[in-house]
Amino acid sequence: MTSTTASTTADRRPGSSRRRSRRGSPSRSPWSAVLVMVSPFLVGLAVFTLYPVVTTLYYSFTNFQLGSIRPTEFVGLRNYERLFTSSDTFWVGVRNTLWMVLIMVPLRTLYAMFAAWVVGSVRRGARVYRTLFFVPAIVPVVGASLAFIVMLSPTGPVNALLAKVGIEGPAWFGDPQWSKPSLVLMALWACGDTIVIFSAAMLDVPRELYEAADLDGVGRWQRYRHITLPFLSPVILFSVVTGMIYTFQYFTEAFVASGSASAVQDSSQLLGYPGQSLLFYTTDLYQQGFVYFKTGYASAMAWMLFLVIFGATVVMLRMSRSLVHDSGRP
Amino acid sequence: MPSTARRSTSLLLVAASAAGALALAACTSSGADASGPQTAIATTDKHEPTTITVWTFNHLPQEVKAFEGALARLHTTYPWLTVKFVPNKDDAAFGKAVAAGQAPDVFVSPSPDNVAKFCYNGTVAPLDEYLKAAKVDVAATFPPSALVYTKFQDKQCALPLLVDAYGLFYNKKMLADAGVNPPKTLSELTAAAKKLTVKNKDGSIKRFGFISRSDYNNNSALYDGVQAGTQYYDARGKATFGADPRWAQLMQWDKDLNDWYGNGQVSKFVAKFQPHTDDAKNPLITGDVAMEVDGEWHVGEIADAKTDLDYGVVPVPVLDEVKQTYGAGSAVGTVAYLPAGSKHKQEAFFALQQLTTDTAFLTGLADTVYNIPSTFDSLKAWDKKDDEHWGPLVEIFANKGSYYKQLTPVGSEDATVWGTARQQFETGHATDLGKLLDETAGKIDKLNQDAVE
Repeated sequence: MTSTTASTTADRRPGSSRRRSRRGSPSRSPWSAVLVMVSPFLVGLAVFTLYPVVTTLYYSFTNFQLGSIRPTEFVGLRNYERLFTSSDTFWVGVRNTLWMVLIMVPLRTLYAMFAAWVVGSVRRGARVYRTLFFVPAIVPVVGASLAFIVMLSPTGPVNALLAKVGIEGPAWFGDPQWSKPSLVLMALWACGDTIVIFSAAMLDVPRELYEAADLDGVGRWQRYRHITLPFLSPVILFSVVTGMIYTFQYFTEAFVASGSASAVQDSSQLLGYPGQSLLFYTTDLYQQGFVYFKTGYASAMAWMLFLVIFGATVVMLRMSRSLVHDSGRP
Repeated sequence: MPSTARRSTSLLLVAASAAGALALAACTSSGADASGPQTAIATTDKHEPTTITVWTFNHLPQEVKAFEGALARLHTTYPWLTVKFVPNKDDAAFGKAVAAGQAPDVFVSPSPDNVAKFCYNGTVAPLDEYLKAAKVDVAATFPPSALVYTKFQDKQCALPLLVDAYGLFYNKKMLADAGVNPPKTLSELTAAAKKLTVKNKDGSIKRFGFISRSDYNNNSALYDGVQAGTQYYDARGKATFGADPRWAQLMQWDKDLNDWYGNGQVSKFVAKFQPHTDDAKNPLITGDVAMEVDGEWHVGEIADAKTDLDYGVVPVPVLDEVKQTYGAGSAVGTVAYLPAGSKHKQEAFFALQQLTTDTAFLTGLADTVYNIPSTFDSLKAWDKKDDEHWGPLVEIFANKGSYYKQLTPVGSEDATVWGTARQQFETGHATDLGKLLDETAGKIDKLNQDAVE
């Protein structure tokens, strides 16, 4: 008992404590090192991600305007209410964005699957084709947008080619009916990254399954439907979810196309031109925040977008459980 | 070990919160001093060496050179004043700088759209006290149309620095061949446009007389209100689009001419030429249109295109009901602010005053960027004022009936709502004009109400 007490007292002495610390917690040192090494990332995360996220949440409940030195007031849910009740552009942005999500995302996924299948089927030069399909994905978005604007100009090369076969080409980015389809064409051209992922997934399908199917005399479509497609389903899910997230935040291509279709720098028609056909949710958010300086309102828009994307992703992942094939599932 | 990790995490959170709180405080602080000075720096005064920062939207090499030249002259004349010049800054960059507490000392913006917003929000300092101390009589210095868009609620919130005036550019030969005189009223414009339009055998249009669609080129100047003798807002500050019948007449005139051509034909024209309104493929230059509304810089663009186009410039036609106002037009321009957060307001105002009133600088910059000088003195000294093409535009700017739309704290949002309504009617997406104009007025009134809440 006495010795135990003595031992306990000795343990509380600084030197003893230090010794025990070194012996008893061998993992503390690596943890500290890890913390030191990741601290630049943590600081970056705090300053460039957490702080803006928390700040926009705060601003979304205020009437804060960028550059204003008037006192910022708490306005509760008024910014959120205005989104739905009094905005002239909110629903336009929502409609245009949903159009892109519903049309562009499935088309992009189907096209990437098809292109991957074509690239995988060719006997010679598969690498060349894969490279050709992938190269557009590494072209900067602004450059690609400008190239498409030139190609799809009413007097550009595409319409010139169409004219040669007797078709009068549309005005593309200059026509509200054709401006969004023009962006879809550009998205299909630039989906090389998705094609590569589908190509890799196709290579992962066990060959013996195809051989067994051949022995059973299964047709090409049945092979694709019952062997390839189930193995591709996780990649399809990935492509659809990431495509949806990207498209909800669709901005640069529309901003460049809209600005270049009109040389006119006029406050009443700058963003979303022609008409409001290219006014997407994020374009409107930019306009509210950086053209009209309504920072609180734009912050509410940003949070609404975050909640919609988060909700849509959760719903999609839940729905996919019964549809996605998981070969590793127990 | 876990306690150490927790402590580190707590420290990080505390640090992040502190940084956040500091940044929030910076973003929402109201430390700027809006009060004016008792005295102004005189040109003969000796002064402590001071460096100020001047931001401008100008970015083209020749524009930057003109600014740098003027600022170098300023430094030579007043060696105590050194100017750090930063080109290519827009209103958004200015707003962000103010929010970060890094406002420049002078900011030159391309348009007055945010004059009322910046003034109402305290982003910029009212200049009245500075002007009074410096004994600058704005009414005797700047033409009245340049003061319309630099004032808000009787406060001088900015000073004009070069102006734009819009006129009707026309191909002289085409009009002469058709036996048409330059139109003065909108009904004359319609008649001339129809007479000047040439169709192909298949019914498509080879040459348009005049395109009135409001989203084309600078046609929005037709719909600011001056051409209809009306204003966005009445004396109570309420939008007049539903109440004043002249807006409906203006819109109906536009729709009728559009429909006469056919909306599809007009759309094709706009899609083809809209990206080229400022270059050598401009349809007036190529002969695809006989008349067009444009700003004074188009005179310079036509000269740059080195074309043999023989053209004339006259005031933009007005609604028949207000034909006595013919000669006035939409006039707007670049504005120079004194940011409320400037740390050298007196010195900054001194520089601002020199830049906006220096005749040599204004005429030189006007020649460089193809704008009109903005003071009485610089207009008098400008050698282009009697030019066949520049002269009518100078007269439009100097006309007492010329103005720009009234400014309110909503900034340019009212113009966007009005522009959207016009396009809905022109394209046939809205057919009940009365209802559309009432709704437009309601939306704009709501925006104005929200902006000051």
